[in-house]
Amino acid sequence: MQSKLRGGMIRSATIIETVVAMLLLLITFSAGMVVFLRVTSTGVNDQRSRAKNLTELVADSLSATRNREDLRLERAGLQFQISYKADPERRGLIIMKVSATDSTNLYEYTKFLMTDEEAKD
Amino acid sequence: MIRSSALYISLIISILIVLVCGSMLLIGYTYKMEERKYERMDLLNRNAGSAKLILMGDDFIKDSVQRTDLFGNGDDSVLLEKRQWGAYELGLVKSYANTDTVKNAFLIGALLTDTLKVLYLTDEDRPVSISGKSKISGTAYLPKSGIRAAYVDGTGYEDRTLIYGAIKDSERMMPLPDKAMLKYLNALLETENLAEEVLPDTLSNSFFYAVKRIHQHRETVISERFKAHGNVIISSDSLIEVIAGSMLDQVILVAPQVRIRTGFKGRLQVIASDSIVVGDSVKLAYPSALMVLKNDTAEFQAGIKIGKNTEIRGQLFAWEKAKTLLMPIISLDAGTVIKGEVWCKGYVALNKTVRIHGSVSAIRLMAKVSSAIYENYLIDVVLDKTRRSRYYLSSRLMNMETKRGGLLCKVN
Repeated sequence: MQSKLRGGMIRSATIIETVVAMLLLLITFSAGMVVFLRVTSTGVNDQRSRAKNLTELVADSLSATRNREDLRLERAGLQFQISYKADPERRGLIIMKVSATDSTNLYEYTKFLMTDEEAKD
Repeated sequence: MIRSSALYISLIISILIVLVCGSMLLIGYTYKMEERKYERMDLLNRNAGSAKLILMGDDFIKDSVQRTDLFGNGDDSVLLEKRQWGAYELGLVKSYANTDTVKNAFLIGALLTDTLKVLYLTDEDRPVSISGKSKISGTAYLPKSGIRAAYVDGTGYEDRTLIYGAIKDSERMMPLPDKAMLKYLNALLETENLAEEVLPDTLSNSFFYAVKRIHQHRETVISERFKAHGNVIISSDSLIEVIAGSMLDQVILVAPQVRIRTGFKGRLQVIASDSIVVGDSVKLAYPSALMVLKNDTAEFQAGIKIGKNTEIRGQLFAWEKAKTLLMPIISLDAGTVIKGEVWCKGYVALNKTVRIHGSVSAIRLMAKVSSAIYENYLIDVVLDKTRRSRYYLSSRLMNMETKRGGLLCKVN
């Protein structure tokens, strides 16, 4: 495979060897890029984590203030839609739903709360 | 001479790239799995919180198990259970998704129907007398004949204000306790068909399992080496004696007579039909409850006797179905502090320097000075509802009108 040149010349690879090596590198680089993109796009999503934390903060703050009216808030570039709905089966409880969105739906948070009257007791 | 081998080098580089990419993929996958698990646990905890609110409502049927999807999405499954545990209710929640489960067991206390009440004395057409360094802070439900300052042993009432709070008229009868709970407590006192078991040195039982009941037909002595924790009921046909140094946490003692020796510290509920005697310097942590339910046919004075310098955080309750001449009595000795409620369908005897940080409800009050007994007198006694914790929760037994309970404490 190798050409042998004499008289102080460098031993070099054949053209076939170089082409094979380049193809091999191309394939592995391509595979690497695919893997890299997949990990970064589907792994830990910073935006979603931030949305989750902020949603919990918004929900807890509103629960503490005993707010029971639908709201739309904007915070740190995210929109939060807060809605309340009376639970038809359970007296004295309402369902609180908080949705965090940017251009896509990032996080949804649902929990039970006591109605304002019950909470005051 | 420089050797060159492009294929060889490119193979090594390719392997390195594959290794790096594989590691990245593995790290990314692990992070993703961890993040999903963390998010799932968050969701399960949140669902468990929502389920607790359902259990604390009075529309959830006791002694029943319910499996439900909280928000109808198909991914918020919880298993709910509620049953009675002495004076309180026990809530059990299991919230699950895939193979992950969050389990919570907790006691449910009742919100007070009247948070301002400090004294309820039934109207027997006799006034209440107050003397010495006594102080009443809160709303007092008194007989229509009212309250007056009085001299006892040559000492008058030291303050000018008789009551720091409102005065309201009381009824001729005590407010009724919860009938269903009385029935449950009376059922616990029926021990005829129980087989005898040996009391081990240590007993621990989770509230997620069935109740562990140890019954003895003879006197039961709970020695200083004994430890019991959780879902455990110890009962006896005659007497249970609790020695200081024994460790009792959240357990229930059931017997006609129960004696708690001087110096004992713990957290327990006691249900007796004859008497409960608590020694000096005993400390019962919150939530504890001492309950005497007098047998209908008994011809003696049932009651609770608390020694000197004892501190009880919880409820003291004495009851008889039909009013008799020998009404039950709750007697508190000097220096004792009750952080909670004293409820007696009979006498409440408050000796000097007793402090109640909560409320007292009784048909009659009693005070003993030297050898003399004074009825409906408060002598050097502090009744102060303002010093009760704002987070205090009572038992539905004494607050049957309350619609919603609260989280009393977590148990295992």
